[in-house]
Amino acid sequence: MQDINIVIAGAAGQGVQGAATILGKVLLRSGFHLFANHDAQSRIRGGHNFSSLRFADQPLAAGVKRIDYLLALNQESLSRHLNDLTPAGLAFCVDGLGGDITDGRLRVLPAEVGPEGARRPQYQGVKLLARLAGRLGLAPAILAQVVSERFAEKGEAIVAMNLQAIEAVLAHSRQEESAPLAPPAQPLGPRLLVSGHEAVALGMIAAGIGVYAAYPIGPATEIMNLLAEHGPDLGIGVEMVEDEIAAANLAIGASYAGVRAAVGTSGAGISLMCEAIGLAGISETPLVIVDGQRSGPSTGMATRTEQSDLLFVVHASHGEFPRAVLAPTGPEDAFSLTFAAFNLAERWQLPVFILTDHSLADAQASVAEYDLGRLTIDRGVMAPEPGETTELPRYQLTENGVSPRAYPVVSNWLVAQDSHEHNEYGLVTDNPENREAQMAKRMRKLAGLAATMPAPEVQHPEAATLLLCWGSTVGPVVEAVENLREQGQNLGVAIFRQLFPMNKEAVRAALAGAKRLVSVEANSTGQLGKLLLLETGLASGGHIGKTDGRSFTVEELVVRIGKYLEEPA
Amino acid sequence: MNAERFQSSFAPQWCPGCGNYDLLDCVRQALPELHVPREVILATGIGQTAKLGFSVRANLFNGIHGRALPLAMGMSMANRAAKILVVGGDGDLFAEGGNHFIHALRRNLDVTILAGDNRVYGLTKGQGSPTGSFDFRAPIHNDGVAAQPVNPTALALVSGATFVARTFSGNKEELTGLIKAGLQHRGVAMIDVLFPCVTFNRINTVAWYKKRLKPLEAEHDVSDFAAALRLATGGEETIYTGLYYRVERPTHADSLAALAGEPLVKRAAEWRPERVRGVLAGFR
Repeated sequence: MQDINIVIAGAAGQGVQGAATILGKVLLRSGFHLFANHDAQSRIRGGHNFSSLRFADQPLAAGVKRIDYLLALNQESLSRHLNDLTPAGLAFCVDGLGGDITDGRLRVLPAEVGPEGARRPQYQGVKLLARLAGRLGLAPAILAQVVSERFAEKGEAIVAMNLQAIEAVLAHSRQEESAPLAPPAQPLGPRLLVSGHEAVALGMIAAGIGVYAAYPIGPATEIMNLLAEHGPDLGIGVEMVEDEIAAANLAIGASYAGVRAAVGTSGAGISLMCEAIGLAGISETPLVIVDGQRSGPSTGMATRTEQSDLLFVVHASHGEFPRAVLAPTGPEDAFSLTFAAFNLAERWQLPVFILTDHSLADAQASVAEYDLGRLTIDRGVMAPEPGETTELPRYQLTENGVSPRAYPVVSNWLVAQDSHEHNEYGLVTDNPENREAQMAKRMRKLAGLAATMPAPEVQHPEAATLLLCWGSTVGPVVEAVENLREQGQNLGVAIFRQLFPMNKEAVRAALAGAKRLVSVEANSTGQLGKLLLLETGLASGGHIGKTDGRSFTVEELVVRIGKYLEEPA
Repeated sequence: MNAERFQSSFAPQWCPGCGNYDLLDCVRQALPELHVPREVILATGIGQTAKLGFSVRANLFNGIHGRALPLAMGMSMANRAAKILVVGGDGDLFAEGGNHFIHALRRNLDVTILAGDNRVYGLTKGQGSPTGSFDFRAPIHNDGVAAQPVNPTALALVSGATFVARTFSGNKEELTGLIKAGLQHRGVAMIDVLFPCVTFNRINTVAWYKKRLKPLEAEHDVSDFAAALRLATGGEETIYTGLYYRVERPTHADSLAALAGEPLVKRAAEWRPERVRGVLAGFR
């Protein structure tokens, strides 16, 4: 594989994100595979932000630490990142930022390059992109097109100024040798550049969501933004409510009234939603809940990633009730698993968690355009419409525990749902026989659901050691394992996308070939390992963890896994 | 049209003399004059008043303590044609649910709220509620409640309610009329229903209320916000009953473009995976 890693760095408000968006689209349209992640501090202005864009002739699902090209929007970016620049790498900045740095890899763009009007700071991002495009031999027409689209809203004059700046910088760059990377020989077909949470929102739209409720919180706000943008056209009611408690109860009310409904938040919001999650459980109301995990507990590090909510969401809320927990690994399965979550929620009438994390939420990857033809919306078992107004046995005892639903007001059924223990008609009772019957009915759903859950995807199942992973950790683990196998290590990977309930027999069979299981997760205690033991009796032999709030990089994992294999901790 | 159409087989179990019986009677009287059971959803929380929902034959979602209003908001977004009645006590609506109360009223959610207000917690045996008076004493309040009571009528007014009324559970004719008017109002209708707790509230008894209750003057202008607020906050020597305030404003559903036209629940034909196709264009 040939790959190049570019870092764009600067202070918040300097346009790091805008430049990264433009470069991402240029690389996508130039035919490359692409993975981009973003590192931001929790502030509106200042601080230090950077985006890494890695592109290659093969699919990518992880970031790397080494930098091939650095685009520095301020001086701090040079001092912070030059250490990671490869010996053959180059750093670009505009005149005046280089200071007294004498590094031979630094290329300073003279101030006089480009039109007079483009000397203001907001143009430096585009100039550095043009400088990079020249170096990489990217087609100027693609860059010009993406920049024109990006600034179209700002008017023709701004677009023209940007295009002149690009042209001037490209002309200037021709003095230097270019070092192009060839895209894959076979054109890749229609593709998208999507972040994890954009993919979740797109999956919700495809699944026919009617109502989404949330309180703003990173990294989930991106889902609300995308749904709110398209809601008026598509008939999706998006409500920013007073708190996460309201969000969860609102979604339950909407689901009861007959539309697909979801909420999105991070762990702090899930803490507030706990009581409503139990309400969805006992009232058997379909509900999809996105937890974009971030560093905890409490406020923790608000813009940083972690995978520490797994055991929490498996057990969240008091009492016992069935639920499902799904964990996408990137923008491709984030779309399909979100779509599937709504079908599961309605088929089994329970809360379904989509467990993402900050790293996954923000990271963009190029994916083949989603195949919508394979998707089918399944709203579960509905009660046949009665001829006249009749009380629905909403909690009818059935063999698989699923009772036929009906939507109130639009049918002749009168539908009663209840947070108390209730009889088959949804009316409160604490009769002991009824309690055992209703409890057993609900728990039959958990057993039935577990039996439909697929086994983890295992790569190199014959390997002596299998690394257990989920979420955003999967991409870097898979790439690190391939590197380590080339060095002769006998390693494989087990990727868990359906975390709860586990299909015990299927999971045991999938992992049967391994002598040792080791979990690799962005948490302290090895939560997947613990859950595996609880659900299947299989014990993980160890844990490679991380709680610094940053995404795993491939290099870091190669070192840490290699070290672990030498001396297991 | 008669109350039997909304009579469920579930018998309530309140203390004899509880104001909830009167409230239930009035709900069952008012509903059939305007609706059939399938058109109506009761959204309730937890507490003695919230249990009223089980005894009304209609659609019902009995949710959790304090959260009936967000539950109702979700119902209203999914089906703006549903007739939604939120029924709860003073603990449900003003303690656990206080935040939601303010925000539902700000939004002019198209629901009718019946607040059963007896100033005391019954289910947990006699603690002062948020509407309980400053010097209300109970075993856990040796110093009295020691907080100014929430004034539901005034709170509704300043939170943006478009229909605000107050009456006493024993004024059954007035209460039935107000419930009907509230159901006919487009937007949030908040009715504070004062009633006695014969078991735990020895202060605000039927006799205490009878001495103070007085219908709003016939010339009270229900479009006059300042007059409504003045009457609502004029102390308890005289407690005025009737319709304090009514104004027409766009409802929550009116204000959301996504909810225009047919209720969302009836738009199932649009729910196909192909719906996302146009949105994908922005990611190429």
